[in-house]
Amino acid sequence: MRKHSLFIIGFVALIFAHSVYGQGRDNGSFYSRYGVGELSSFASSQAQALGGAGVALFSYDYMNFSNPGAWSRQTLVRISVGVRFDQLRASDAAGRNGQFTRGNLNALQVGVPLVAGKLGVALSYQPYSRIHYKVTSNGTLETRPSESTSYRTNHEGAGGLHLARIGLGVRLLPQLSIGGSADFLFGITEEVRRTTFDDTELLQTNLTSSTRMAGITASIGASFTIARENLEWVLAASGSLPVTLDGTQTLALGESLNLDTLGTAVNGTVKIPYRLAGGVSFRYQSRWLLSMEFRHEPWSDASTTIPFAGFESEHLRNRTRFSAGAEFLPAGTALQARYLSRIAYRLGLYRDNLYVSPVADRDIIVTAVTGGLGLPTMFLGSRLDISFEIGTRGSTDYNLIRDQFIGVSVTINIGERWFVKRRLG
Amino acid sequence: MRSILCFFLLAASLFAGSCTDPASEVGLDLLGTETNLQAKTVPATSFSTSPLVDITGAAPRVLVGAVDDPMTGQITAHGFLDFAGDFSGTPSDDIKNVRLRLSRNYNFGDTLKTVQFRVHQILKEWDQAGLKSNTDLEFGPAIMTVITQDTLTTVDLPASWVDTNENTLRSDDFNSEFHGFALIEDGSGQVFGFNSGSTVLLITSANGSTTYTVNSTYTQIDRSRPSDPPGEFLLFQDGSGPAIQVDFAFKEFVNHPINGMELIFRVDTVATQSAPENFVRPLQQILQLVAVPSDGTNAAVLIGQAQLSDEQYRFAGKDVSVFFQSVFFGDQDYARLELRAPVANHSLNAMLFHGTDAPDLSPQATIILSL
Repeated sequence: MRKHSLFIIGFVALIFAHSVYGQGRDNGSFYSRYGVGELSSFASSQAQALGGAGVALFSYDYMNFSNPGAWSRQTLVRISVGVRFDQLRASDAAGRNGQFTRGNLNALQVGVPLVAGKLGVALSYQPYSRIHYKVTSNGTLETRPSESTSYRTNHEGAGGLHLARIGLGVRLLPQLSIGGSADFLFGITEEVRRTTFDDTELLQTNLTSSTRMAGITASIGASFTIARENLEWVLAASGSLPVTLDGTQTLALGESLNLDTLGTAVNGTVKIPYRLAGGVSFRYQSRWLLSMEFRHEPWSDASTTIPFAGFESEHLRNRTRFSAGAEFLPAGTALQARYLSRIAYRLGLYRDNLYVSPVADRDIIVTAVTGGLGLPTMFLGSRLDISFEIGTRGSTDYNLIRDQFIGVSVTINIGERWFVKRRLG
Repeated sequence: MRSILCFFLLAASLFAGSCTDPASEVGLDLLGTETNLQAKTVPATSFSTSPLVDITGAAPRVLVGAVDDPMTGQITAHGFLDFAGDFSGTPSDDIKNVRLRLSRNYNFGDTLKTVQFRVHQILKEWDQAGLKSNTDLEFGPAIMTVITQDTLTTVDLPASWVDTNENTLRSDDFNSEFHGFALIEDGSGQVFGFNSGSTVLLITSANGSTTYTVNSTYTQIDRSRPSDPPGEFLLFQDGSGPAIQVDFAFKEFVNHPINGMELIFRVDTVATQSAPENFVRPLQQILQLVAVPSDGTNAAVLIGQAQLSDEQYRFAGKDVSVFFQSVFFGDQDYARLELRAPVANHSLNAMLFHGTDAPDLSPQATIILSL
């Protein structure tokens, strides 16, 4: 019965999450216009509440997609799906303000232990990057001396890259786990420029630049555990290889089925650099957990032969992300403790700099405080996680934009024991 | 299960609040010049006259007469009219009189001079649709000669002609047996235009009268001396030509989306109307811009129509933009653009266009581009 419920819930969750994700042109940070969009790196709902410091985390209640090495220690078949909602307030140096909300899928993750605690396989589907902005400009165009017409242009961006992964984690030694995955990156980004006029004699134009990209890469990870009676240290590292995406960019005029392709499609490649992450976690009495992570992505090595806004060397920045967080679980492993004691309380922070900047040689810094609750459910091994994130992105210096954002995530993690041998006839 | 339900409720409520957003101007400073549209003006690469063999069949008027204009040249016009109707009297009614009543609504030339033409009977059935001004129609010997200077010209056909044609005029098959009159110019000093709507053939019999109305029109036009406009101008003349042909340097806009298109042709109405005393040279009020196809087989495509205003014809609007957008995308092709007069306003009206020598007055196309 439970297996069936898992499938049904998972299926419904997939459809729901996809419908949320498929909303298309929701709005967000204007910074997502640059490069291949705003990067997303969801490892688990637990890691998310700890500032994203997930590389050295492992837990029997969560999948951890920041380190394939962690997949070796699965004991339950697990499915996890989460959605995230952001409210963003953007302001610029000229005093303009905008407020946006958006919702999207965090991830859909599945983990299956092949040998409990020693060998596990994992699959996931999640956004890798997202483009979601909308800017409107009003202007006056001089058509002839002493004659002008008013116009309005909407610049909209949508789409992004998706990441589908399948991998394996194995525990080579009681202290050492390693893992790897094949990562398939694919997606379509769209930039739309819609121009309308007060003058009804003029034609509205709807120019859409669509870029379809796809490529395959691989990730590896390892973790080393030092366990004592009441405490446990985990040192971990993971990384992804550079990837070259093959892409095709087309420019079209019109809407939906009534499209005229302008010119010939541009075929090219987008080179995305490697990702490297290292971290450490410390667990004490199964009640306290501290985790830290440092991530590096040398985007100055990135390049593209397909035109993207900001994808030039002076605008590309090496990304460094530092994150840390703490979790307190008052009940520890006591399953019979009262409900409030079995909730996991989490707090974290991170500092990041965007891999691409609209202004040459200027870093766009993101800082945020994160937190959340891991709510136990009536099913052992399943949790409902609510996480939040409050932070800022960028500043209004150099005509840049300051985003203030609040994000709320809801993730359901369901774990069940499958493939149990019957012991009684 | 409660936690699962809780997940969906939380997610759904948050999602419901995240669906719509107003657009913002935040980010405009970073977009910079990317927000700009561009209005580009290009001059004509060619602007010249071309011979015109106008379609004059089925026009709402016929022209008759001749004019020797120092500017537009020497032109002769012959009008052809056919009539239709049902004889209202009894078969035995004697026809006493047949009168052709010609109602003038146009004239070109010296208003003090007369229009003189011969009336002939057309011998064969003819189809007015698409008839060009150089088409010959077969007609019989002259029935009579008419000299007129009036707004309403009444022509009483001779009794001998009435006697000869009485059966036809009274016949139930009048429409197929009678093919109309040719009004052949015969020494006029100006050209009249007779309005087909108020021109009638009036048949009077013992018991009353029957009115036959015009159902087909055609004007044959001959030019015996070419036009001679002032050097800095190009002459356009309806009916007899010349027409104007033009082209612009549009190559740079191939595959570009456009928001608007405007073509302006500047004219000099004072110079156009400059003429000896009592000489009337009406201005061409409405012009059409057409695209003549490259293959020469298909009919010209009407792009737009413009009314004379402020010493210019301005072709603009969505139809014009859509046409040129389709040209820039390769969906349409044409050999040249031409300015023509609408068939519905058949005349000898003229207009002097500024040529390409005067940069401020030469034709120009303004294109609003989304770059």
